[in-house]
Amino acid sequence: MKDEMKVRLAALLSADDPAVRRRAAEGLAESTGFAPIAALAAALRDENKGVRDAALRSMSQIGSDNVARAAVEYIADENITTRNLAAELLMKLKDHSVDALVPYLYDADQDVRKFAVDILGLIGNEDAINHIIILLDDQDENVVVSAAEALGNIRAKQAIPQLTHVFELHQYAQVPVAEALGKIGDQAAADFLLKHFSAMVANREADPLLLYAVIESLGLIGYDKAIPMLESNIQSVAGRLRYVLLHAIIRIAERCNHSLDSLKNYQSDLIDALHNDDTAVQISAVKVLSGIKGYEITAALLEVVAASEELDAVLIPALELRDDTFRAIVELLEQDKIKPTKEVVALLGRVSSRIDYQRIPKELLDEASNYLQRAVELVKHSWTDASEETRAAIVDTLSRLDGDHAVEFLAAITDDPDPWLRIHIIELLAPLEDRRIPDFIARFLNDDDQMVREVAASTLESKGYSQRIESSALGTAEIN
Amino acid sequence: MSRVVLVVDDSSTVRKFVSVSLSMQGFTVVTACDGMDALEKLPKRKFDLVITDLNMPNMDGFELIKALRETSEFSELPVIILTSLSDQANKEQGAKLGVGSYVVKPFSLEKIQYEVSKYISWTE
Amino acid sequence: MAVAPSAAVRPPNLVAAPKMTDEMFRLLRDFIYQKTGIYFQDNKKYLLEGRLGKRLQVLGVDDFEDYFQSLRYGTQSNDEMKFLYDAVTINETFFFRNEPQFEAFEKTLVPQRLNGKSASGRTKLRFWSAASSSGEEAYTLAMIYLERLRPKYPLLDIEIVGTDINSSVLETARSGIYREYSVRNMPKFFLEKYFDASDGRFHISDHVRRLARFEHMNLYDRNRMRMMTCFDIIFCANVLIYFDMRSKIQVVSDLYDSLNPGGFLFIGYAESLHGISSAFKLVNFPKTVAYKKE
Repeated sequence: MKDEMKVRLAALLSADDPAVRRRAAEGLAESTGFAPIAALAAALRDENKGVRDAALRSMSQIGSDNVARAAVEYIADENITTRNLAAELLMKLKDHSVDALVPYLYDADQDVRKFAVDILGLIGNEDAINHIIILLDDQDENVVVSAAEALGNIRAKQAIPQLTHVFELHQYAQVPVAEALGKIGDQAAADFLLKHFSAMVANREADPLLLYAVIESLGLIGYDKAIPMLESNIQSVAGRLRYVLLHAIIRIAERCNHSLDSLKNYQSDLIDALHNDDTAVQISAVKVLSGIKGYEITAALLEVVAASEELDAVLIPALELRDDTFRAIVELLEQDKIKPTKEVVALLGRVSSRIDYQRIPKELLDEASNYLQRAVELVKHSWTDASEETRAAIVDTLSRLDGDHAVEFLAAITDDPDPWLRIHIIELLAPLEDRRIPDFIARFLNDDDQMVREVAASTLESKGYSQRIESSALGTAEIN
Repeated sequence: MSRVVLVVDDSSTVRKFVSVSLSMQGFTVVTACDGMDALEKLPKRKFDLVITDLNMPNMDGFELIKALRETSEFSELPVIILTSLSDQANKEQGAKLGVGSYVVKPFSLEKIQYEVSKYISWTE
Repeated sequence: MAVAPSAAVRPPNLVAAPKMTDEMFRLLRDFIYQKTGIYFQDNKKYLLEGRLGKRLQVLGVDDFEDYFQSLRYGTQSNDEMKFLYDAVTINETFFFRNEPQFEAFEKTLVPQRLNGKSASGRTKLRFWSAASSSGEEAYTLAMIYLERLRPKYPLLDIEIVGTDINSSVLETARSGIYREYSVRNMPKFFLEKYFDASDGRFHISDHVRRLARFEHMNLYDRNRMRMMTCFDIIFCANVLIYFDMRSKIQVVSDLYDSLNPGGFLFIGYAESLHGISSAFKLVNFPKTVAYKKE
């Protein structure tokens, strides 16, 4: 074993062919002991990218304190690629890197100090906190800002007094400190931020970026005493900041089980917020809007379906509960305001199942059936361009919308390339009482896919039809 | 049509705040956490400006700018460098790569908005 | 109306489909991961439950525990693994699916690769369509070669290898017979020139078929991957998304090793190698990106 390793080490250090060096670096991934680790660390400086990549991977795999110790000096290397590789490795090694990094917080070069504190902040280990607090007093502004950021990432409660001190001392550090306080989250932090919030709103000259950071942080902390002050200032804050403010209020209210009723007055801001880039803001908006009735709201909610999975988790249940969702989907699809994505198609199917035609008053029955027909046409129309998953949704929804109509359409889809979908169609057709069904299913007896043929055969058999299938792939069926 | 800006920086704080500063002015902002991430996002829509840090993992700022200049599609894309490294050598290297603007961190909202306005103005 | 179904028997697919417990899902998920590197997220449990459930019904097996036992220890386990692989792969694809990649391939990458080789005499370039499914991507490359590259570079020979873990799609690929859905995005010109339509199916012509060969391959099997070498361009689109971080890193590392120096890797439009490999150099093209082994 040891000899093999020596051979690998030699290859690593001296082979001409980079592929050999790369193999050697990969092969050292299981090693222990300082020599292979040192060799791998040196390979971080190899001229070939593939070799550097293999060295990085192997060192991450070994993942010990020794690796961190061998790699850390490279964060001060003159070559930026080497520095970055070393940093990436140290971050992957997490807690193993902390002791090795701490001395570099005191390096003479401010870029090295900053680099070290950034890495420690991302690792998130609490042992470094006291050292990082010292750096809040650093001469270099970037180091101070990075220290604040790192303390926020580590959630260092004990740093709050020093952080608030820095906020008041250095204007350049205010935004990062505000953000850090939000991540740390503590009543002391919240009180401090609230105090500054009220001062800033009153002051027209206040930095909007700082105001944003303070509001966000208050929302993150979830301090209920902030609500009255935040609510009373909604009107004073304009533009994008307003729905950030609304979002913060909603967040806090949820955490503290506070009612959201008063926010219903801000309907149009909340509808705007639905289109915000930040999913969390969108979700908050949905939560309040779902408590407000009205077609305009239903339409606004539908327009953001399928934008993100996280948002859909809140949005779709909310839409299912609304009375006008079916109508809205049909109309918005016709106006091309929404696309027939799988989420929209599936939602259409589910809401239609809920419609109780017995309870619809006679005069509205025609209208209801008209919408139903339009829905069927829209769904059929979206078939050609639909993806695999969407086609599965279309098949389900069609059978819910109109069983009879669905039969013809489904039976025509013997041409779908997905065998699972063809099986699904057989399953959907099977329990239906329509005399065309056996013929339709029988077409699948000639299918290319063995599984599909088997399912078709057993389905027909158990429905009480015997058939004769010739042993060749092209079979015929005979219905008795 | 809103102008689209790509912001590249490994610090999530910087990404968020540059992003917010610019979107408050009506720009559409896309963020990337390093050069490689940026190069993967660039082909996916039309960008009007790139703002990038220099010191990032996986591919640093200069490598990114070089890669942009080597691709005909992006060779004319305006670039602003956002950096904590203020020394002359970097400025010169940047100038060679056709970088007109340097913003030194920590930066103010006005400074960023001013530099951006040199290249693109917000249009409705 | 309908002929009355025989009362005593219900269609097997109306019997409640077997339920998969969370514990069973975890066991199956780990098993599949060990074998293929493909990782099923929690929210995809329905997919595994549905597909394997259908397999159980065909086999006449009542519950997943029995099925799992037979997968691991049964005498037919190798055969059954084939069905398992079929069940865990999503095979949607069609001809000319990722046009920007084919553009870059035709206009820049192949010429670049040719510059690196001798100017006189025949040159051979090798292309790999990893996770080739039913072969659409591989045959698209073949058609582009026949139509656009060979006229310009008459001394250029090519070899196309398509691989997939799913055996039934490989069968389709070898047959070269396709349905409407697969050809829907094709330029009409190609469809008319390189396919014969008959019986609602499209048969690809022999001189295209000859350019590609298809093999079974599990991208997660290192020993097999080590045997794939000296490729000039690898297409690996829309398959890495099924792997987790760890298996992605391994697969991509093996793909790197499979390339010739100066060779290129393409992955899917929405995918990224970020955090997975730093060994490649990223090269931009109109609307797409390629990864170069320097």
